[in-house]
Amino acid sequence: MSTVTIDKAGPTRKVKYGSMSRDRTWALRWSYFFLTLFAIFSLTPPFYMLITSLKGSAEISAATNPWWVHQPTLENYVQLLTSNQFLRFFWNSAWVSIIVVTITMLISVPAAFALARMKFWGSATLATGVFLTYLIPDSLLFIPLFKMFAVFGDWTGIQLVNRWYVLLFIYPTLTVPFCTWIMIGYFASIPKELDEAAIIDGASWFQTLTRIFIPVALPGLIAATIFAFTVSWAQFLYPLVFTTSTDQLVLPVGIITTLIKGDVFNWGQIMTGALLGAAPPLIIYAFLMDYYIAGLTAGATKG
Amino acid sequence: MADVSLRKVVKRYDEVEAVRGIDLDIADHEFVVLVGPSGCGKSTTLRMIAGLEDISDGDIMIGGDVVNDVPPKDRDIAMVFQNYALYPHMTVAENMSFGLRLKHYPKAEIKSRVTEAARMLDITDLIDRKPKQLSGGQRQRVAMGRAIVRNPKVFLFDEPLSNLDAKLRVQMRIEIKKVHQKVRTTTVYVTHDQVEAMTLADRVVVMNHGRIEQIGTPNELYHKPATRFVASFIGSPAMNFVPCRLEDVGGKLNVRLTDRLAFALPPARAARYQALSRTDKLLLGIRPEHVMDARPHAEPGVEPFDAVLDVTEPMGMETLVYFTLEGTQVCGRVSPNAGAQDGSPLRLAVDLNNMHLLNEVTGAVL
Repeated sequence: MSTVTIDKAGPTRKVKYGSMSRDRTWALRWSYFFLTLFAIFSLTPPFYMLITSLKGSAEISAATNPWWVHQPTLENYVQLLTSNQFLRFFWNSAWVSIIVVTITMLISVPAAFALARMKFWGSATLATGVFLTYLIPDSLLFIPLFKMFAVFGDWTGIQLVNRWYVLLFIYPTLTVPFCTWIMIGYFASIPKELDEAAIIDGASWFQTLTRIFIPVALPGLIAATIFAFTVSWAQFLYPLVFTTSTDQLVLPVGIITTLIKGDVFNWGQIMTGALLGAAPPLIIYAFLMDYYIAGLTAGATKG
Repeated sequence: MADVSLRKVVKRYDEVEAVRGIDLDIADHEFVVLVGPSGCGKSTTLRMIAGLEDISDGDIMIGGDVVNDVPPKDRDIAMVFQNYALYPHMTVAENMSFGLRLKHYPKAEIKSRVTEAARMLDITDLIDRKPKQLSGGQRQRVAMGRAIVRNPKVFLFDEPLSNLDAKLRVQMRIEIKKVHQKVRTTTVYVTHDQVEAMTLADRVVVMNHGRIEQIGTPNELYHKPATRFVASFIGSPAMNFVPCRLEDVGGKLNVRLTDRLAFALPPARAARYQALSRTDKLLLGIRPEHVMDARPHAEPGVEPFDAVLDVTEPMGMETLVYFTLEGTQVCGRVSPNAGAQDGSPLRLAVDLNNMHLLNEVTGAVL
């Protein structure tokens, strides 16, 4: 047996124990600081809306603390929910959104599948093109689109302008490109072998899409659905331009055009209407949040 | 059940030729393994048989019918992928029955086939689980089950064991062999692992650079390789190649390795190599098991020599020894009792009855 000499000097530098966790603590403190800041920033407007919606018009115009309700009242809610007009806007919005979501999914899911999987000549260019379409702002498109529908009306006698269903043709120009893009990313993350296995098992392209891709890509599909719904629910410019009669209006435009009369702003009802209008997307988000996040991040990990 | 034939099959990707004219006949019930280094075109060949890749030139026949333009689903084949490719949202049973359900088989028939395949692969207990609840080995069994229930003309395996750990790989290898013995379906199996190729195959097809180097039974490839590539690819540790030349000494033919080391060839070998030019640059190909520890009694064709060992690797049942001849490393296998030690000399012997001579330039075995 040989003797082993141990060098007792060891390392001279003082080892900082727990330095990793100290870094982490600071990182967390900063994250919470900015998260709090961001939360205050984004929650203040809805909070203000809620406060104002609970006030009567006398209290709104009175010079009291605007962040507190002294005499809370549901008067605004009662008035809005019993007004046929407001319910009409609500139904118009609901119908437009539901039908637009359906149209969008029926177009963008097969389109994304074709662009992601059926490698045909020009498919890559087309996929980029789809995304570029999405980048064109609606403020650039609404005048030519209006002209197109007006001319279409002159030629065929089918009047689409100032009908709520004209929006069913217009909204998909916003939703289809983006949803297609999300779904391309999601489909691309599905291993190639999966559709090859399905094809060898005897599935047609359509069966591969419906029986393999759609179930596997369900989180992505839900994310796209929520997106399409939110876009059509919150769209303002197009309905403002294309619909004018009160019974054809959707919620965002309806609130503005009927509750602002000249220079008289019915603040209490405007705030109430906006709050009620924000509710459906909020409820849908709350239920499908996990799916939404999974869907948005899934495409990102694998190109 | 069917035979598979490839006639001058070529696959071009733009400028690159991945497969350069392959001729191959696979008999009914045969288990053929395509083996070669990565990029040799073996997977591409398999995918062309499956119909997942178009062929650029030539013909592929399954059961006598040319299937060049037949889509995969009508070729009556089943394929097992390296990453299993199970449908993640379906249970094991649903995964296995997917193909049958698409073809609208009667429910009872589907159930009996799935049950039978599950029993054969020992996955009966897992039948209601989802793929993510299974281990790698179990997933691979399900993938095989999915192929078996279809009862296809041909099984195609694309490196099915590469994702498994070493122990499981050996176990699944035996499993695959058992399945083939039971169902006897014509099988084409792709791997880069020569051990898998040797153990599974009725015949092995060694591929390199998009061409077939040699087709033969595992033993033929091992003992009668046609080229240097096959000789070095098949067998582990690999065959040794030592530069050498032939010379006549006193009417006998010798093979000279170094200035000081030359061996007299046994009569059978001498007769075979007699006609070769004495000036050609040659390689002596000798497998490690034919470089062994010298035995006390002389055997015909086994020539003793001394070597200083660089490294020894005790494997238990044998010890691998490495030494250098004129800058070329040579591996031998000696008995664990031979006293081999790193850096020390050892009396070895080379069995020239099992030698190969190769042309150094062309790589052809002479």
